[in-house]
Amino acid sequence: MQKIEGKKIKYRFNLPNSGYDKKLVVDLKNKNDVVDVRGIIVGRGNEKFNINIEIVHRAKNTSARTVVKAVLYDSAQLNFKGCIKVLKGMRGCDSFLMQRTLVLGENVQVNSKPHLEIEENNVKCSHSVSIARPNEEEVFYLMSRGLSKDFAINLIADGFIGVRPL
Amino acid sequence: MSKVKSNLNLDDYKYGFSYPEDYVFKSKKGLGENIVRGISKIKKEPLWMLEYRLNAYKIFLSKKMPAWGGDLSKIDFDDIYYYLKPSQGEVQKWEDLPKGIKATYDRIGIPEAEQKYLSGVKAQYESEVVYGSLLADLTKKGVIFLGMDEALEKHSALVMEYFGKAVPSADNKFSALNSAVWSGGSFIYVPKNVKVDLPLQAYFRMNAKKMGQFERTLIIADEGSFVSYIEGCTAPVYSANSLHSAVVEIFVKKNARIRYTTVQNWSKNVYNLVTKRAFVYENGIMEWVDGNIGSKLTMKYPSIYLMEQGAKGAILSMAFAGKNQHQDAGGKAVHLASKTSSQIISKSISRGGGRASYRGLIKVANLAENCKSNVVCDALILDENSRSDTYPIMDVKGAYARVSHEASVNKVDEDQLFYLTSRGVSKHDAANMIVNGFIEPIVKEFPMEYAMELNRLISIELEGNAKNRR
Repeated sequence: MQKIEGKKIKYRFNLPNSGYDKKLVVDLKNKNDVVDVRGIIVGRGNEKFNINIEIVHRAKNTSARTVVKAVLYDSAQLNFKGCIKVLKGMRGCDSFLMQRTLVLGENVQVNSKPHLEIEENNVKCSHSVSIARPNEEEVFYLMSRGLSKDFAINLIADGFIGVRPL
Repeated sequence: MSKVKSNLNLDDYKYGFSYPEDYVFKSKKGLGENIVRGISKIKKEPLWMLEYRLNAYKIFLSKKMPAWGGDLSKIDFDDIYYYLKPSQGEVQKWEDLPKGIKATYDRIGIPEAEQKYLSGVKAQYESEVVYGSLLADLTKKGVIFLGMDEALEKHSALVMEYFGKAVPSADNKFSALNSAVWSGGSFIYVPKNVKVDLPLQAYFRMNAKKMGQFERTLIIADEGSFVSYIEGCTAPVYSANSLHSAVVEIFVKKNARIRYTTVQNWSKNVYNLVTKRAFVYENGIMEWVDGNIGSKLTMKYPSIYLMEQGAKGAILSMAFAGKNQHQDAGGKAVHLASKTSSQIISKSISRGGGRASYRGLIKVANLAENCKSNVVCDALILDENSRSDTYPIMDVKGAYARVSHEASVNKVDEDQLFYLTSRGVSKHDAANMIVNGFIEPIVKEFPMEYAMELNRLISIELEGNAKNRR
């Protein structure tokens, strides 16, 4: 388990370059702490990833952005859990968690559990999850320009990961 | 506004009255095999049902209490009356009901509603259905709308075929409890291609203290048919806790459509632990519209199992958690076939120390292709003592699904408040408008008179909030 805390943090991880499991606890302990977490996962074959991220707002006016993007080929598996907690009385917190999966394999499995536990009203917290194949029309467009199907899909996957989120 | 007035408004649960108990039969307090046998004997049930009950009772004993969700530790299964028979059988005229029971329904306004906009009504008081009606032309078309006990007697084969098929007694501890001691509930069968234009309504009322109500509802819509069913629930306010644990099973056949609307307004001493599940077949449509306002703790997740190609499901869930309330609501959609789609929209409001949770599941099976599912849940927290949680699960196997989920937790937006107050609307009215706008997409799906009632209730609850803020 990895614990990170501090004033202004950028945290990046990239799987499977740094293994298959990631347990991350982000503690926002001081007023006005800002955290930006981004993760990229590219899974192939029978690779199995377990990710557990917990963002805990322990101080007022703290904010966090958490974005995890996965591209899964073949029979890759992803278990994702991401929890945003705002403790009682921590006003003015702003937290967003996004987890997106691009499905490119036939036997991909995704289990995604985004949680929100909010004990304060003066906050803005949200999360979103999407699990989808590449858009057929986008693939068709690229192919109509002379790209092979594989190339087109890889290009879309690159864009999916490469686009600067938010 | 005077303080006294606000207080009055806050306690304004207009269904909180009760009438003296004058019953034909009241079982001993507590649960045991003898109680289960006793219920079956009084109802003169066939042997298979008795065996089903006894088996379910064994499962109930063997299952542990769920460790997730709300706090269930205060439920004392030995301090509850499991069966109360209020009158001698079901009647077809309101006048034939015993006085106290008739007065209850008059005060709730059911006879009036029946005349205006319903096709049929069932009224359940304690453990038994005491009143039933159905428009004559629907009877002619072959629509069956009976109390569950009467259906078991008259349409035994049909009941036997479907009973426990969607929700087996071993599904969870409370479905096992319901299967062991069930009594009352509705049975609806709509024949092929029959459309029931006006809704059918069931009304559930608990009157006695420490009562356990375990109704069992089974709805079957045969190919190409349509029916809309509404249930409403209220109970008197007592300091002792009551338990309501229903099982609802629904079968939507090919091209059929069912809309099931719940307006749950139990008093705040009722544990509401309900299992609701619908099986949807080819091109069928199932819609759950679920409003939770009352109860001490609600744990209810209407489920849709999309069994065949082209089946669709929608769950619209609204929860309002006030003081000392925990609404653990949500919905589940299980995609077991290709080209199925589901949508869940949930809106929750918590205030005055209440807790609203969304708990949901989207599951896509491996061989199901081109499934679509979309979940949106929004929560509003109105004061610093309240809490909101979101616990969804998305479990997707295979390559051809499109699943999306988004959730947000917010307070009443300051910019919107400012805009409205700058236009001369008072702060209180402005907050009211914003909250009503927030739940509008769900409220508009309720029948008119309920939508108005919901808006009224929420305004009352907000009144208390405005007071707190000052």
